[in-house]
Amino acid sequence: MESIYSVADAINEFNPVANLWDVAAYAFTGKDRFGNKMSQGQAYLKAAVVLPIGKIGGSGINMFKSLTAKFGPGYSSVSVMQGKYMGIEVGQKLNQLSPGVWSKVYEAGTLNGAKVETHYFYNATTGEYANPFIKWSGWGSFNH
Amino acid sequence: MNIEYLENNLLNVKDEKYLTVINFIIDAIRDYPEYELNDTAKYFNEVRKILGTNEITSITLKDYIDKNANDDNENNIWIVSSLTSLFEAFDFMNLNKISFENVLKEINSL
Repeated sequence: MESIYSVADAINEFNPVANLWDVAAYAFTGKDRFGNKMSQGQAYLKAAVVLPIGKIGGSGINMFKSLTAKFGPGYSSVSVMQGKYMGIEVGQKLNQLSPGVWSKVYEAGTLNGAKVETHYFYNATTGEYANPFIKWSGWGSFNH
Repeated sequence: MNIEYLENNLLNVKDEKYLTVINFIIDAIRDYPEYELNDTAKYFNEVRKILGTNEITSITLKDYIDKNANDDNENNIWIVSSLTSLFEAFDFMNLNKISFENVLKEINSL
């Protein structure tokens, strides 16, 4: 149960509305929305989560140089596997925005110690990660 | 049916054509950008909502993909990826004269 709460908290940590609220609260009071004191570094991290590094205007594609840039320093990779099938429409769209060899990746990782499975598109040529998201708690795709 | 259970029971699928279809469906569910969605019935309900019709066919799927491939919603690329895998499943079913109902029966028999 504790693990479920841990993952829920971790996901909420990247809720853009909550983080934007924290950033705004920090600017005025130096504290987050709950009144907890925040360091400048924590405020910058929350701002970074709200404003992705490589959002490509109007495309709906957000590029990241690392998964910690998306999920924060509490994220670490454990194992990866390549998705079996990636449609040509998706490959073409990604290639228009960032040329290279793209693949679909499922990754077993941990977020603040809790097991999570992350899915993303990866450009092996540039090392960019596109639209990563946490699909589920646990490592379901790796258990067979 | 939970896809983790489904994957663990793929060895029980004797017909390779059904195996191919089920693998595409598993892929489609993995790509669907909803946290913790891992159930085939829930996934097909989501697809019906997205398509705006109860009829999931290769035509309705292709139509949605063609019209929405360039939508700028952040989830869109994953929805398109998911529906593309599902479209491949339906295309393969059409080629091999397999009905969706029979695929669902096969899934539920595992």
